[in-house]
Amino acid sequence: MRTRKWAFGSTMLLLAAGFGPATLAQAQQYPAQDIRFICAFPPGSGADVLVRYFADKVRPLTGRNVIVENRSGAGGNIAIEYVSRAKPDGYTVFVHGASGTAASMSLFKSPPVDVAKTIQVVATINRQPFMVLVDAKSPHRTLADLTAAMKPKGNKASYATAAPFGTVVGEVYKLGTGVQAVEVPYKNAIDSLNDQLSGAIDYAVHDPVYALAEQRKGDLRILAVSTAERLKANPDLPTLKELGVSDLNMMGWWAAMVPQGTPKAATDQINKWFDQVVGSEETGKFLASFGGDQLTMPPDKAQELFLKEINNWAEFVRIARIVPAG
Amino acid sequence: MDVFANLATGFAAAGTLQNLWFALIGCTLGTLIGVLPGIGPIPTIAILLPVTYGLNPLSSLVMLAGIYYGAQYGGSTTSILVNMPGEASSIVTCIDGHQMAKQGRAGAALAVAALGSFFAGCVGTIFICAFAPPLAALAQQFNSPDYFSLMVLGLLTAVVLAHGSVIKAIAMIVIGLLFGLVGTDVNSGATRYTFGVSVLWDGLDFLPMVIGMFGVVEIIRNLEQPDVGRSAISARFRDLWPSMKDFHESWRAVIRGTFLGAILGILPGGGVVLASFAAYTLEKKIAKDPSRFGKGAIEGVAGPESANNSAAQTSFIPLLTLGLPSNAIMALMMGAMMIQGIQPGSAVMTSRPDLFWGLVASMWIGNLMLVIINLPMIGIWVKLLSLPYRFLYPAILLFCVIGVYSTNNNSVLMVFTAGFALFGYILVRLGCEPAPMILGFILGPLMEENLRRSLVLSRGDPMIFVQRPISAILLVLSACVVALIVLPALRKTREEAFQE
Repeated sequence: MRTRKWAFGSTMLLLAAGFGPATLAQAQQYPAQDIRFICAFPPGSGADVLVRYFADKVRPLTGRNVIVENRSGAGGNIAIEYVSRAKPDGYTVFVHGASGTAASMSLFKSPPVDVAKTIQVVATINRQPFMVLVDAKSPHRTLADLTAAMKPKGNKASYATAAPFGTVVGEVYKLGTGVQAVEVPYKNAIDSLNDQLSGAIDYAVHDPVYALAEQRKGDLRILAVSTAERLKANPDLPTLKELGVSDLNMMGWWAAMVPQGTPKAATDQINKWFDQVVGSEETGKFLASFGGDQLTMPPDKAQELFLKEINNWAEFVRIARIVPAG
Repeated sequence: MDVFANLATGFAAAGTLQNLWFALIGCTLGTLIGVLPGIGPIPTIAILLPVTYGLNPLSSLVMLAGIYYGAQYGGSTTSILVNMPGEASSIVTCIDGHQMAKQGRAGAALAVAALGSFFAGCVGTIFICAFAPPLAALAQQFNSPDYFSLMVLGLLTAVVLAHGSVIKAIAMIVIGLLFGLVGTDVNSGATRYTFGVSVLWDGLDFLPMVIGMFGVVEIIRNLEQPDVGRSAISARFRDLWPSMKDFHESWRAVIRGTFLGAILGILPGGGVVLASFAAYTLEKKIAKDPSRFGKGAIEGVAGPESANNSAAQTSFIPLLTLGLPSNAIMALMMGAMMIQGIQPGSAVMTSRPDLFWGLVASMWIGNLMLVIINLPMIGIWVKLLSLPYRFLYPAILLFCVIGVYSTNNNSVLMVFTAGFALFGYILVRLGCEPAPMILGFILGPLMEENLRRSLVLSRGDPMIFVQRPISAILLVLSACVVALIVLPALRKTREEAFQE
């Protein structure tokens, strides 16, 4: 009993003595504690793999531990809300699609927070397209072939989507070409494979991870990508823009984000870490396996892009006539 | 032979030190919970699901599968020695197994149960090798309408094979279907029954539901019963070897039980409990002298014990080929796969052959481990029965809570778990089996999705379900199943079958 009391007292003393300098050091020296990366998807998902990759690569640069925390659900909204309300001290970093975060403002009837006011992008990671796909056995070798075949079919034609992004790209393609195919939504891209291979679905608009995997297997053929510029990862795939379908740049991009009000010392440091990791050859290969290119830019430019993206998505959702959920 | 090349892949994948280790953990845990009355494989797998996040997919499946078929071994031990079934699937083993033990033939009963289980496990593995590839090939032809019809057949069969009242089984499936509706609708993006709670946008979480309804409810149910002392009939190791007469009397029953179990395991809604009951009934029906049953007939141990093990094995077939879980355990395995980012179905075999064949190979390895774990170490397992519940249950409850919280770091899930525990307890008091509800919950959203998608594809023409041959055949089979439920003569047979 006696010893414990003594130990307690001395700890208090030590704490009191060390209090002043410690806070000072904390302000100067970021990071002074472990950092949490928030992932908006469940463990084991493709997104989780990406977040954990960056946690592993950033960890040695920080000299601290980097912990991945999964807060999945409601299309990322649970994580977005969580990060928005987190303490803006630089120890909560949201590694997620900045495009998806921007889109959430338009995809949901009553978004829990105004991300333009609560979230700040500090470093960008990658840019990736959605892709238009046909059965590899089909005679359509180019998007023009597909368009020519779909037009006479009118609303007898069908296409598969599995994400709001796909719905947007699908609608933009129809508006730009006059195709009148009917959208058939799936929960996962893979669910649409059997329907597509049996001919019940004429074409599909899916994410690059699925599209590239199925093209490699020889099941499907990619005809076009949704970004305005071609990708370094797949330079031979034409864009909807150069094919004259649409001028829109429909691009998914991942970023490291923090709650607004995070000190500049911390955001600059996070940006430096991510730029270093994203710029490496290893990361280039890793991101190419997700069908995208590395993307680095200074924090202010990234934030600018983010704010622009919020407006873009309002427009996309209007074009695609998506009814906000919630 | 393709099968041998595939099995070689499987043994290479399952034979790594890590996977052997997890197979051993799974089998040991399975035996443990099989021995302990009050906690079965469903709550155990549910509780361990969150732990599997950190493992690689094969290791986690190997471990979870080991728990499932391991419990079939362990359950028989207590049935025979203590007349207390550790597992529902071992209830029938009590009847003749414990009688044998009373007559001083405990060793023979245990050995026949274990060796019969081992034989059945091996045959079950061969069944998977033989039937999974053609079924998977067929599954690749499945379109949305076919999937819908398959779900219809699956749910209807679950009604027929469910234990107890048909009306209650239907009610439970419908409740499951309704729970499955919560969340965002795939077709329209609208949210249903979410009451503005964003946690519900992706639907009700599977884990709080199963942990609440199976894990917590099991504990409450067991606490209701007084913690009476249990005395076991001791069995010495040297007595374990059955006599020639025992062998002679039981080998046919082992083979019959194995094949019956293998078939019942594949059927949706079937599984180990049904297999063991059916095998016992069969043995009694075809025996020359049925009056021996209940008085220590060795066939009454050999048949059901073989059947429940081969059923445990073959119930993986529909999950791994069609993506259709045939019972609540398989629904959990499906959850375990989806946690790892693997969509169960025909694609598993083509895209992850190491995973599929590794799991199959691990079952064979696991069965071998189980014989070793169970026979020589039988004394240790029996000692475990003296473990007081007051230590056991708080520990299990703690695991439940940690497991649910760690999945999403969200304390709301605790509230859901408690809610489902209460709901599950009410169901149990009303005599409703929660297992069909879990099937309804898992299959309901898939069924709805495919139904509506088919109708979009056909532009609203319901004929699409009969125009496609696969779908048409499945619907005809479904109609037959409905006839089974409705026709009074057949219904009576079903009720009789379950009374045995």
